[in-house]
Amino acid sequence: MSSTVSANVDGKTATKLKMVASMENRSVSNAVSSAITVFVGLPKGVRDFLLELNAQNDQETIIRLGREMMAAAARVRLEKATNDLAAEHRFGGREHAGSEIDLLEEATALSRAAARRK
Amino acid sequence: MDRPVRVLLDVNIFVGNIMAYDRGHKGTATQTLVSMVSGQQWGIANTAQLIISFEMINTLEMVLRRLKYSEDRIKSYSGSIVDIVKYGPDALDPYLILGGEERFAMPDVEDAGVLATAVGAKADILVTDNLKDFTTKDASAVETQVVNTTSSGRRTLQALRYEIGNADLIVAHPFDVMQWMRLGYDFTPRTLWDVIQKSENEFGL
Repeated sequence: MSSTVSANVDGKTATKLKMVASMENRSVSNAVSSAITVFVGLPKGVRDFLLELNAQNDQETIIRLGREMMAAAARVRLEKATNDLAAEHRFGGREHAGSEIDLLEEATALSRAAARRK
Repeated sequence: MDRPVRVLLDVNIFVGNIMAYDRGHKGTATQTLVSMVSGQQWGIANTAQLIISFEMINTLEMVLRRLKYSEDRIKSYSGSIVDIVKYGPDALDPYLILGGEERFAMPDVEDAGVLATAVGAKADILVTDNLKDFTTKDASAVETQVVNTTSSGRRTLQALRYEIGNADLIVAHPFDVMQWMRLGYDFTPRTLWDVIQKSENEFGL
């Protein structure tokens, strides 16, 4: 079930919001909905810190924090993607466990074969 | 090192990493290296910037496609690698790292592209299992250790050094890289090479 909520924002925030929605090919309503979903999902400490930085207009720290969050997200995303691939056991699973050097040689053979097929 | 170590992990390292998890391994060289680089770490004290080219991502995707993974899974995996490069300490863009493989006289065009990527992006170290194909007349070589494999029998691992223009690059096997990291070696190519050469002389390999 969906509910409609409304909020007042200042002109600068409204302009930024329209820009983000336009860049990401979304409606303003959809961008607001995503922002709320992210906001309520963040730990309170993080939310408070982000609001504090925003209130102080500390752009340098906001940009640095954004980069560090993206780097952390990329690492977690890679871990998850690796686990998702490994969980399918297309490389044979535990029954195919051998020595590490044999595994590497197999990986090299697969990579070379794929490169030749391009 | 007073700047991030620029690390190029060859496609076989990423494939070996997935394979290791798939087969229930823990703490292998590939798992440690991929985990470290994705966390922007290199050893205890250094940061790492991953280097990869669009071509290499393409090959990695091809390996996964041939194993019949879904396109969503493949894109999610390769997309996360792209993000690690983009949000690394030097904020590189894999789509802007161009090859130039024609510069290198190598039997395999793909490997020439990997080497060109490493040189073009000023990598300090290229980590690969496939050392044989990177051994050319332009590289200096040092034997590092002997390993026993099921398919190739006894195999002597090497470290290679390419000094091309302003680029200074070490090409090495993940086993050696892990060993050098454990020993706390400095990965500045010139310094590392001096230490590797000295070790070769001491152990008579």
